[in-house]
Order: sequence, then C-alpha cells, then structure tokens
Amino acid sequence: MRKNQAIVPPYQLFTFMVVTQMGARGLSLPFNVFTVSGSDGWISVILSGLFIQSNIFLLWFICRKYPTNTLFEITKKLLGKIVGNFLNTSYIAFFITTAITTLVIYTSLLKEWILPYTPNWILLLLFIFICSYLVRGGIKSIASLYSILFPLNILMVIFLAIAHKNAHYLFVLPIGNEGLEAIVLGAKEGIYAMTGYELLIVIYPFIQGQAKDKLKMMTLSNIFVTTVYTFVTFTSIVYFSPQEFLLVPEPVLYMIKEFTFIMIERVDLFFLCFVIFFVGATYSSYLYASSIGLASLMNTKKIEWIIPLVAATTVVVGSIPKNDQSIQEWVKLFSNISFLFIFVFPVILFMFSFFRKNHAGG
Amino acid sequence: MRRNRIPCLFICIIVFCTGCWDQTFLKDQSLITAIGFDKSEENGQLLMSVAIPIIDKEKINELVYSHVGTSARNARRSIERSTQKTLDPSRNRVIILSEDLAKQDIYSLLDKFYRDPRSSLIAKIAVSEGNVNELLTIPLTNQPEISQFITELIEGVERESLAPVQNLQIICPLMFDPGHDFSVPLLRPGKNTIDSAGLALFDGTKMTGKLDSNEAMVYLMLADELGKITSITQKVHDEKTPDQNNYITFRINELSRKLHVEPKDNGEVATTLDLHVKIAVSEYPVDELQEEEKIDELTSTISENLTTYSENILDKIQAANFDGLGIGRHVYAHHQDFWKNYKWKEIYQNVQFTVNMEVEIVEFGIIN
Repeated sequence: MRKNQAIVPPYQLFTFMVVTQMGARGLSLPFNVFTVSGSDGWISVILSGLFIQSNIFLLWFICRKYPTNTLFEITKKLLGKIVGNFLNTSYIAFFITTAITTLVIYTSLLKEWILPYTPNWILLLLFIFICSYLVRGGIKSIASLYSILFPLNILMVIFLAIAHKNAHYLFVLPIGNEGLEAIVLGAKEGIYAMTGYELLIVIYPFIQGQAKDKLKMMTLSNIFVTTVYTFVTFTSIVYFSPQEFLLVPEPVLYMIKEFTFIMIERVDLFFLCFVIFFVGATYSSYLYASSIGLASLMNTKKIEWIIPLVAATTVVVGSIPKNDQSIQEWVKLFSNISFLFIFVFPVILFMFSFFRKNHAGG
Repeated sequence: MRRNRIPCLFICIIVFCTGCWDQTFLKDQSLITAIGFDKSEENGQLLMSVAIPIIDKEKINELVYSHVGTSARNARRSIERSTQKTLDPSRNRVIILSEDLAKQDIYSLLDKFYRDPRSSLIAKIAVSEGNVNELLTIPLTNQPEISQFITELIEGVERESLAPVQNLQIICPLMFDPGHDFSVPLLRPGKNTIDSAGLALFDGTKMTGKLDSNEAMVYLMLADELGKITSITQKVHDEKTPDQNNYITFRINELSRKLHVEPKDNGEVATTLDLHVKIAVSEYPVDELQEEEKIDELTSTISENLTTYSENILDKIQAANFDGLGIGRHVYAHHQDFWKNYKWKEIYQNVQFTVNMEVEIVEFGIIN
C-alpha cells in the first residue's frame, strides 16, 4: 500500500478547510436559512457551527487512531474488506456528487449573472481543465494554492460590510420570534452550506504536526467559517426586509449589486470573480478526494488518469439539469443525502474504532 | 519542455478563448439614462419614454423615445424595434413615474428592474406631477442632458434634506415591509426647468399623499433622515416692518431624536418623539441676539412653531396611511403580541403622536 506522507504544513489545513467550505453554496446560504428560520437565521448559523464542531471532534477521534491512513483505508480496517469497499464506493459517489453539485451551481450562477449567452460546455470545460490541472499537482499544490486564495475571503467580508450603510437593524428583532424548532431546522440548512470539513478524514495523513495541532486548526477554521457566515446571514437579514428576502435567492450577490465605487461600477461582477476561485476550490477538493478514493479502490497508483476521468464524469452529469427549478430540486435532494455521509457514517466508524481499541495498530 | 506544455496550453486558452458569446459592442447598444412611465391617454396602457444620449461631434444630446405597451418590457421591445438598437439599462440613472401611475401598484412597473441582472439598482426614483414624457422633453436652458439634470436635482434635494436618500434598491425593502414605508421626491415640470415639489408618500406600493418642500424638511427631521444641509425659514414675529424682519432662517447643526413606541390595550399606540435640535442662525435681520432673554424667547417661539408644524405634518402623513417613521417596525420588533392581534395598516390611524421639541441656538454667525 502507498505510504501517505505528511507533506502539508498544519496552517494550510486551516486555509484548506476555510477555502473548501466557503463555496458557491455560501451565496445562497442566507436565503436557505431565512426561508426556514426567518429573522433568527443568524442564530441557526451559529448553531450549525456548533454542530459542525462536534462533528469535527468525531472525525478527529477516528483520524487520531489511524494517523497514517485515509478514510478509504480506515473503512477497510474497521469494517472488513467487503463492507469497507462498499462504504468507500458510496463515499466516492458522494464526493463526486458534491463536485457535480458545485459545478451545477457554478454554471447556473455564471449564466444568470454575467454570461447569459455563453454555452454551458465552454464554462464547464474551462473550469474543469484548470481544476484537474491543479488536482494533478497533488495535495501539496492544492493546499498551497488555497493558502494564497484565503486572503480573498477577507476582501469579500469587507465588500459585504458596505451593506450596513443601508441596514435596518430592527429587522432582526424580535430575537427568537420564529421559535426554537425553526431555528434548529434552519441550522440544518446552514450545515449543508458549510460542508467540506468532512474531507478532514481524507487529508488527515498528509498534514504535518501533532494530532492536537490539527484539531486546533480545524477548530480555528470552523470558528472562522461560522463567524463569516453568521456575519453574511446577519447582514442579509438587516439589508432585506423579511417579505423582500423571499424573492432573492442569491442575497449576497444582490446586495453587492447595489454598491458602486468611483472606479468600479459593478462590484457584483468583481465579487463573482472572487467567488469563482472558491467554487473552483470546493470542486478541486472533492475531485481530489474522489480521485484518491478511486485509486485506492482500484488499487492503482495512476491517479493522473483517474482525475480527468472523474472530471469528465462530473461534466457529463453536471450538464444534465437544464432549468433553475430542477437545479434547486437537485440541490435540495442532495443536501438531505449528504447528512448520511457527514454524520451517520462517521458515527458508525467512530463506534467501530472505539470497540476495536486493541487492534488499533491494524 | 514537456513540463511546460500544459501551462502553455492554459495561457493559449486564456488568450484565445475570451468568449465571443457575451460580448456587447457599444456601437450596437443604446445606453438608457432615464426612463419615464405614463398612463397612455388613448387606451390606458403604459407609455414608456427613454432618454438615450447621442454623441455627436463632442456634444452629447439626449433624445427621448417613447412607445405604448402593455408592460414595461413590452414597451421597451417596441422602442428597440423603432430605434434599431438594443437598449441597455445598465447605466440608467433615474426612473420617473407619473402621479396617476404611482397611485396604482408601482412594483408591477419596477419588477423588471429588480429581475434583470444588468439593470442598475442605483437609479433614483421620482414621481412627476405632470406628464413624464413632457417632463423628459422640456428644453432645458444650458443643459442638454435631461437625465443628468434630474439626477443632480434629486441628489441636491437629498443633500438639502428635502427628500430621503433613496434608489431602486433602498426603497425595495420598505416597499415590502408592512411596518415601514418609503417616500420619493416629487418633480414639477416648469417652462424651461424642472422644480422639486416636495415628497410623494407611499402606502406600501401605492402613492397616497404629498408633502410640500417645507413639510418634507420637517418630516425628515422627525424621521431622523436629514441630509447634509437643512435650512429652515420661519415666521417668528408679526409686527415688524419690513416684512422680512419677521422671519428667521436657521440651519440644523445637530439633531438627536428618540422614538418611544408604547402600544395600549385598546389598540392605540402612544408614540413619543423627543427631539433635541441644535440650530445655527444664518439670517435674522432684527439683530437682537445679544440679550439672553431675547434668545430664550426666540428659542421657545421656534420650538413652539416647530412642534405645531410637526403635529400638522404627522396628521398629514397619517391621513395618507404613510408610516415613514417605521412605527410599525418598532411595534413588530418590541411588541410582538400586539402586532399579531392587529393588522398594522388598519390601526395606523390610531397612533397617537406626542412631539417634545427642544431647540437650542448654538451658533449666531459672526455677528450677534
């Protein structure tokens, strides 16, 4: 079996997670949360952050037991070859589907906001060319590129802060108006938008440093992402009135569409350019995860050939949905399934790893 | 060499595949700079007018095209057919509605501007007392661009606290908010110019009332939305001659407003407005500002006048069912039970306003 080398410095685990988690779904996160928990949406986002933190602990406990193995090797060790491979296959399918979802959101965003006449396949091809090239460079190139992309986040937050000049802060009051149930259900929407942290279990062995440092980095990245998303949601809530909000499925871009500077007339276009970096990053991370999964499943080292294959699959499937309605249905359906992979399966793995204490060495 | 092949390929892709699908040439486009809507006299359909700048030998002229249509989009298509160019709304600066249209639902007219990703959300909105098509075709002295004239007029009006700062996006949350309403400037076509005629008040999406310029200024003071400069002239004496000596003009230097909303069991809402106004005298020909007694007398006259005036204005905006102060939003935020029991716009008439005005003269200019 291939030896997993720890080649990525720990701080890049932080940037990797932040950049992967902040993706296309963040743009509609405030809307998705708002439709469920109304003006208390920002509390829901904090709640989802807390849930994710517990989830991170869970993943970290599993990883700590097998510090040199990726998810695909851990499953086999814990559940045996047949069940393990079955689980691996479904995880690969999950990662590929996440990549496809990202692609679908990416094309529909671009088509709606800037390039209405450009054919889909051009957008998709350009996108996957770059992304697969990045992924071929391996985890080290991916992680270092993400650490360069990370500062753009701060720029995006600054853009959003401008929205506060037209804010009506009374829109968040009364706090807790929608009731506890709505807030908790809203948190579910928040979690889907923040997925990406589950890749920890795939990239864990490549990160240098002690287990404790890695947990610290994961916690930091979760705090960062939760803070930014809470800010984004809060800003959207105070910017749009509750009735208007329901009409705006991409509140973040819509808010920014109103800003103008002396030099830049349409800030939303610039913002969208930055967002595409993050969408690309989300896609690349999942492409990477599914490719090494497939390589391990097929017991081959020729990952260079698997990457374009997976990328091509995502493009073919990703160009199927044709209208906004079907895209939204697709995303919704997929969001529900992803709960299985980010939470239920890790719990099962955790329990097995707990009982197999003595055989930890494998 | 082999290693560089892929990066080279990417550079080529980026350079040669810049995308020809979404290019728009300026020569094929007509930028719209102002849009006007009237109710057509013939069949009650929409009459849309657009101002398009034509650049001709270092001079910019704006031409106004208009066409009747069933909807805004439909009328635009007709204009495009008659001008043989694609109209581009991305640089639009102002949208003007005629008064009779504004009294209907304005959202149905504006929907297309919110829906189109290219349209400019920073365009100002205004209501015209007269025909909008005529307003856009007024031959202005020394200003060939009507859109620029109107935009600057509206910006000036906002700076001088005659209208709140607004654009398409700023009014949108309030249009949908049951507990807060918006107002836009009212324009009056003159002979060779356009004047501001105060504020058009909206109840939800329908225009229901007007304030004149003086009332608008005091209303903005009550709403705590003053612009950079607020200059108010008031009659403070009756007996002085010549008549100018009866008046004082002052600027508002500083305003602190406290809004207190207290719903009662019987469905009334007691609203207290505590205003502390610091003013600077800019014109007062009587020149008696050296004695403390006289100053006290003057401040109490001013604050009494302002209070009565404010109460009249509050009656007026209540009559228009216009909740520009956002009282409803306060009730929603702090008194949820009360809000649920009543339909806000039906009980808005029951709001009891109390105005406590405190005026302080802080500057006299360089003479007393």
